[in-house]
Amino acid sequence: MADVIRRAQGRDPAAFEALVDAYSHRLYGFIYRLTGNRDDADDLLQEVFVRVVRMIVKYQDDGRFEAWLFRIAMNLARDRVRRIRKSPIVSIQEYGPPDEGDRAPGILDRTPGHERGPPETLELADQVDRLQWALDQLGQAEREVIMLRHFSGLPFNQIAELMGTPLGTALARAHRGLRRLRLIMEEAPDRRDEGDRPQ
Amino acid sequence: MNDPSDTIIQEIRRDERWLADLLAATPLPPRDALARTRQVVAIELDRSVMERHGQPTPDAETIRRTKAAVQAELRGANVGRWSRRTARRVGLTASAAAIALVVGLLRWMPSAQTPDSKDIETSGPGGPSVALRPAEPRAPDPVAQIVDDMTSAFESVADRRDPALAILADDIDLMTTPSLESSVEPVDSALDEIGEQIETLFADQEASWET
Repeated sequence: MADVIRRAQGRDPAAFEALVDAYSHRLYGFIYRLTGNRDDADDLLQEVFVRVVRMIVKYQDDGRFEAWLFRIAMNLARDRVRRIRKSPIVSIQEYGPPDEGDRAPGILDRTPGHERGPPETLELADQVDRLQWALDQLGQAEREVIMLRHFSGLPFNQIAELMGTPLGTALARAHRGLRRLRLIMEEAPDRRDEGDRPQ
Repeated sequence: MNDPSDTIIQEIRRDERWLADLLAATPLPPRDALARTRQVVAIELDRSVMERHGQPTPDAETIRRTKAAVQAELRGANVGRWSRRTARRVGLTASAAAIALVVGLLRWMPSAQTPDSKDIETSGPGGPSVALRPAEPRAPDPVAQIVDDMTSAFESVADRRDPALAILADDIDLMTTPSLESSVEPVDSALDEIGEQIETLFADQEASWET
């Protein structure tokens, strides 16, 4: 990876292709889980790599490229979530589950009453939706540390550094967040059975 | 009894395994989203390259070469300044020597050189008479010769200053040592002053010849 980064710093297009191939899946999942929306994940995935192109010259390779990369993604996702929450049209709590297939949902897809895909995909969609709903119940810092841990695979000390917190704080947030998430998922009623969502 | 931190870490790992199963269902980026991302990266890359070419900045080697060239130019300017000063001093010395020679000659030259010589007395059948001495063609005037020599000396000093080179040299001097221009002025003014003294001196002599 050090060689790819060095070539990217020299503006080698192939090196950027390699970076997109290596990190786009994890970055997309990370951003999606923080924003809860595929449109935002699409947009911000592009934005992350635009930032990488602009800023990689300044990156000093200390073997923590992933921490650098995920910090960019986290900051962009934070900004987007903040903007969404201020939006009078739709809040993050109102997001529906992601649609299946490659089509990214539009603004209407986020609102109740939107038709979903075929029934066989509903089970997976429902599970994803419940998890997303549960994640939205967590505080932002807890959600970020849990998602960083899962998608970036970074050790807790690097996550703590990335978030600008002591290691103990990062561990406490992860511990508390995971326990809460588990409780929410176990205790929360099946929203589909309750007719919380339209079929 | 277990260390509390170990217990916490074990619980975190257990819950992370549980969560990993659920997060496995996280959607992947659509193909068109990946294609757009690659396209955007390529565009941004082109833009950044164009920006770099549009606003070129000299690299370290270019800056080093430029500094060396400037240093060399400054050294050359110093040599040129020294040679100009030397030429002026030589010219000034020659002029001063010529003036001293002129003054000395004027003081040493006998009055016979002046036009008030006695007329010739002649005697004839009608008695003595006075006849004006016929005007003799004046011998080459050493004073005029000295003046010519002095003029040549001044001209040679002036000739040493090629106008174009002088302007260039003065520009370089202005850029490098602002006080240099003021050092040139005294030399020129000294030459002017000497010239005026010479003109006064010869004006007096010419007045005496006319009487």
